[in-house]
Amino acid sequence: MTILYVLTRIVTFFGAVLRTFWEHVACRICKIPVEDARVFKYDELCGHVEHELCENLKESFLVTWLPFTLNFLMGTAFLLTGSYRLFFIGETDSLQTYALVWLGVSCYANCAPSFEDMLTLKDYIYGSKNKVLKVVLSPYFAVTCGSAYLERYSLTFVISIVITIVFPKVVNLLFPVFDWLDQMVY
Amino acid sequence: MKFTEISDTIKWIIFKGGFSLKDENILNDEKKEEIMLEKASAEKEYSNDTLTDELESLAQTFREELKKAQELTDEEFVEAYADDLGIIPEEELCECCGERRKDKTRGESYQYCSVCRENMKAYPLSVPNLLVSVVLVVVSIFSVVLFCNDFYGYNMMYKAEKAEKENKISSAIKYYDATIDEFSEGNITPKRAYLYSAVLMYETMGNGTDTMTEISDRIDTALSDFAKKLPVFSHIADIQLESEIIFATMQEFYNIIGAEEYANYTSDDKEMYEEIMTKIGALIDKKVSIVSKDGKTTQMHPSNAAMVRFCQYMFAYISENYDDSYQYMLEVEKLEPDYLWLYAYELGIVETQTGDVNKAKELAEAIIKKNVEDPDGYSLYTSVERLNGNFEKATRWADKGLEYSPENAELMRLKAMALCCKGDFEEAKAVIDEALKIQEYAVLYFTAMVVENELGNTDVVESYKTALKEENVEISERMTKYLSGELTALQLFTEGTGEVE
Repeated sequence: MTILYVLTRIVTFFGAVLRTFWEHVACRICKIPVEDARVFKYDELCGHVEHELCENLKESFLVTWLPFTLNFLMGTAFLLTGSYRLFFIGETDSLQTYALVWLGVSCYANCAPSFEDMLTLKDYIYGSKNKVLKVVLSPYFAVTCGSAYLERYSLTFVISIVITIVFPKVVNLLFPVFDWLDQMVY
Repeated sequence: MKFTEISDTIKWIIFKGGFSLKDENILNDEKKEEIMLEKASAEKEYSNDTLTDELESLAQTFREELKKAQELTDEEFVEAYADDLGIIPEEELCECCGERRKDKTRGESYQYCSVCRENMKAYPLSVPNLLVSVVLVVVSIFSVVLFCNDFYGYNMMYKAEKAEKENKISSAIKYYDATIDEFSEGNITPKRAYLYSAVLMYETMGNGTDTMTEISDRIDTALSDFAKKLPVFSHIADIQLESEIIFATMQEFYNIIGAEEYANYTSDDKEMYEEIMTKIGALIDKKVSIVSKDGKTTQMHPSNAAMVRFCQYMFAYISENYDDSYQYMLEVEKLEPDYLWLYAYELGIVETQTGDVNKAKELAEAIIKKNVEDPDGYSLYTSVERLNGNFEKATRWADKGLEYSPENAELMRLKAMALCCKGDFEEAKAVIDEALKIQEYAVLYFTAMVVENELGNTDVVESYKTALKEENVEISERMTKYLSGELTALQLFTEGTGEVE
């Protein structure tokens, strides 16, 4: 599975670089010692930063949340043009369109935290006695945990391609809201 | 007493004795040693014997330690004397710097020293990663800006798909056209818009022969020749071919009736009528040529039989041979029941006028089901209800149609007729005046003449007559009967054909 995992990281090169960068930034913010910040290595931490275990929930949350959110937002930004042009209006002749789609897929395929980080987060959330915290963070953890598991088997790549195809259909649900806003403004 | 302490004592003795070994005045070695010992024992109250014993003991200890050390391996030696020598075992070395001891306060298995750990907290960001991230952030912002610029086009496409789902085919085509126009400014080809609009245009054929060429052009824009051969697009390729065959069949029909030998044809000439009709009918067994877009290849395909019958219907109608035209239209329906755009409205009008109201209603329903915005369906319903005496229903059907097609003059005319039947002449006048602003044609003027006549506006009626005369339009027989008083407005609009001509 490692070879498949690494190959997927190579194919989604830009997303892996971005995620590694955001994880590194999070470690710097939390002053977590970083052992290896290389993007590509032949193990399950390919596309992740190798760092010491987080010492509290805040650190663990930031290290998982920051890369996930930023990659997700940037992937969405790329797909707003890429996916719409390719799958919604059918513009198939432009290299720019394919490039944006590839960037979007790359970002979406590299949102998940590493398995270790996910387990650390789980320990801090469910090891805490604060029930409100558990309830509030459980949905976030569910997404994080699921994506970490999927990434282990390189399924995030497949899922990101599926999301790219249905992306316009999902965003189209917001179009009536945009129309309403447009009418309110004008 | 340790070896170092003894050596220090000896050094002190030498110092205190004040002797310099390099001084030539110093006595010989034995004497020197004797004097040193005397002095030392005097100062420290050590006897000679005691001092000698101490030195011997020291030498013995040295010999024993040396022997022990010589028996140790290198590792045992380092371990035993590590502290004295300042040496750190290899497994204790930090894995980062390899110089300092691992920080065991962080756990037995911790791999780094405290200095390296502090440095790792400030591990420098990779410059290539930073550059890539900055570039990608800029590109993502650019992508959002592009989306905002293109949003109008996407919104039109969204509205087109929504209208299509609601069977509002006319609106869907209008929105697809808006999408195409919007993106063509940015040199973007919205192929899905071209493709879907072509399919809808084929199903409704809004503008006759112009539509047929437009369908073919749009499909060529959307799909390459290779793509048309793929199974997933085979039905699109069929649509394109069919529309080209229909167009080619129409062209053959125009070639026949436009021939010089038939330039003087009139509807009274039965012989010529038969001759022309036979030639048109023969197109069914004839092949039409389809030329490729680049003009390099020509393919022969059988003509479209339904189109041939429709051409015969048209010729029979303009020749005022209404029985024949009706039969040909029935043939069209039998050959291609899906070609509602070809036969449904005309056949429905004939069925209305000949009394088969149910058939007319079925056709109206089929038209509206296909395209809820098609005014022909509402026109048929309005006519059917008017001829059945349901004037209120007729008005409501016209209103419904006008909701989707507010500038449809024919619907307005039919509504005015229904209002006349109800006796609402004032309202009928308002409607017909509105229709005349949009369009002017003979039957509209005839209907307007009826309305103005009922209101007593004879001068307006005369002005309409004058206008028609100037256009060489003859007043129809039914209108003449009405204007002479033979028919009332109600009879005109509800009996016989129920029409003004």
